[in-house]
Amino acid sequence: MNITQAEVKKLLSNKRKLAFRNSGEFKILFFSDFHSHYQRQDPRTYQAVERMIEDKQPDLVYMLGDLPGGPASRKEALEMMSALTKPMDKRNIPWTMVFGNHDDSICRGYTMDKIERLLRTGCPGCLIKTAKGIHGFSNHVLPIYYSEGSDKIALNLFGLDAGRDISAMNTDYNLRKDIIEYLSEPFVLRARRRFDIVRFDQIMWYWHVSEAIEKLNGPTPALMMTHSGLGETKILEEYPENLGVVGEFGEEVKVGAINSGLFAAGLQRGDIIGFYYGHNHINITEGSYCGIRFGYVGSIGYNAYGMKKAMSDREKNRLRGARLLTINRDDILNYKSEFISANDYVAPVIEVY
Amino acid sequence: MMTKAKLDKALKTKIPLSFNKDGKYKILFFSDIHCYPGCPTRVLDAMERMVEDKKPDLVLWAGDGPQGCKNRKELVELIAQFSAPMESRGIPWAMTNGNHATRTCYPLTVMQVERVYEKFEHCLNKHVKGIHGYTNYVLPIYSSTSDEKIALNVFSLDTGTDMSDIDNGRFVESDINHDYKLPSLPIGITAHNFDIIRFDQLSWYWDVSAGVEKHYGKAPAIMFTHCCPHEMKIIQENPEETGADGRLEERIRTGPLNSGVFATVLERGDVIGFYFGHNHNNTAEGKYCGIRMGYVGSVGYYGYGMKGATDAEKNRFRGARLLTFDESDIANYTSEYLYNYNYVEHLDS
Repeated sequence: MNITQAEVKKLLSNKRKLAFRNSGEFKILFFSDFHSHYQRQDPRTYQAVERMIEDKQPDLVYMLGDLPGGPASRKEALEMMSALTKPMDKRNIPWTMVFGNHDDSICRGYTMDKIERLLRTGCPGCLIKTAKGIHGFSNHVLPIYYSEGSDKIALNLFGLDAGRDISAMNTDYNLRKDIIEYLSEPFVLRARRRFDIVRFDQIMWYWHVSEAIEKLNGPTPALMMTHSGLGETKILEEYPENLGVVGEFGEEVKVGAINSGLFAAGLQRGDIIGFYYGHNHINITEGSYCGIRFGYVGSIGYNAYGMKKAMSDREKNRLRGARLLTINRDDILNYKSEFISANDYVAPVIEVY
Repeated sequence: MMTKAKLDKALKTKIPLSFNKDGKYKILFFSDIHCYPGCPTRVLDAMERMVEDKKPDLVLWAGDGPQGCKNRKELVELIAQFSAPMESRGIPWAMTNGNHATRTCYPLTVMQVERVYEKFEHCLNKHVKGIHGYTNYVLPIYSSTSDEKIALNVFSLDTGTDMSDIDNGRFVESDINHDYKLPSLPIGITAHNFDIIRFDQLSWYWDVSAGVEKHYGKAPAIMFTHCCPHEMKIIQENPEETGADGRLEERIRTGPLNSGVFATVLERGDVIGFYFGHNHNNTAEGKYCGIRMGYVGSVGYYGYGMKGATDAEKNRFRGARLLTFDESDIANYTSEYLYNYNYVEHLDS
């Protein structure tokens, strides 16, 4: 894989130029796992999004996948997206996303490339793009410039599609037939074995784009976003004190069936300073290992599963929320990362199950 | 993607390898020989007798062989001594580096040691410039009927010795250099004196494998390294589901981070078997996601063994691994663990 300077410039050009404010700050608000429902949408989800955005005034909203709660027509899908992105659209705040394992049901009968196009063309504030020739959709990079007038990139945001079902892995080689059988075995490894992983060509794409950006712009720090988490999250879970883990693990860590080596690749390339992901709804932790910060952004969707065996709605939704990164261009490495509880923004509905 | 010329250069071996006329091919693995100048030669007896008994077509050393040489002459003599079972019979052989590679010969760099190996008449070692590690190479084994068709590839990747430079060029100084303060990973290792397979090595493997597929047709492959992929842990934890045979009680030792090598070979789709040493007291092979993974054992007596009062107890898991391929059904090759005690005397046994 060879990425020319012309190609990297094309990858870096976006509908909207993202830049640090005059104050030197840039705020990214992460939302994940909406799991919206077309018929029975819990109003608290969009209330929380609206109020958080009003309160935090982010410069970019980054969604980490799993938007839908069931198949819908094109019209319904656009209505849902419109409801979901209204808080950003009305404030002219750009947003982007990486796809989650459920995002193939955003729109009935649509393949992932059509869904990506629907969002890109149907939603005005959406900065999503898809790199061609590699696995997945929504693989893209967003550069954030030092200032509106600067052509120097201060921070890159890489998004990679962690995929949907690993059975889609190129298994034409007949020796691979038994993969699904093995993956569905009740192994001890803490993984839902059906989930796909970031593929080798995606990591290679990241590696070469990062290298090309370095040639163009000099060494540039970056954040990496995916829907499902790094295998290394298990280290956070097992050694919370050593890794300075902040937040709560409400459930076991769910990661792709096999570790694709994304963390090791980011560490070796040397630009990644943070990894963020969703997928687990009630893990809201972040820690640091080998100089890289990584963690969950939480789930904002009140239709999605919450705390298990909860006796009340309040308990079920105790860990709903989002993550806010406040980055200062003069001290990017020490950016501030905080989990924002949705319960501070919406009134809990008390009911007994 | 690699150019055809570059691919062909990577595929060239000093001695062409091909399946025998009867369609069979035997690979014998030795690992963790841990021999040094003047060391007891019982290990040599074991190797000599195994080679004589099994008559392999190719012998592979999976790391941690000769070590502790004071100069080049000593190293050449030591390698000559320990490669004699192959050199005297004209059997081609190759080795991959273990984590003790830097201690092979004190005045020589690992690259210089690699060049010493490459000069041996039947040693097929090669190296790739511009990527991490020194013993990254591919050995194609051609069909018995056609010297155009690759029947099986053997890949070696260098799992390295030290990962303290893994964060070279980072914006933040990573804390990996003083990682002893950090926990070992779930798999249970310390970070500072092991390395992992680097991304440029994986890319090289991927390009060669894809190039072979494009120009010579898909060929199954065997991968061998010194340290195992993290996924060996899955076999250890699920011996029944993965059909593991042999001993797996020893805590798995490998590099501190998952390099993704297992995911990479799984996705590329050519590797059918993955073999490694490093753990001296594990002997098992199991199967995960259709890939057979197993230990080749430690044939040497100098490296650590079992705890035990007697020589026989300490060394009861010493051994080697033999793979026997049939060209008509390569995927179902047989793999067996050969115990040293069937070849050499273990005292007080």
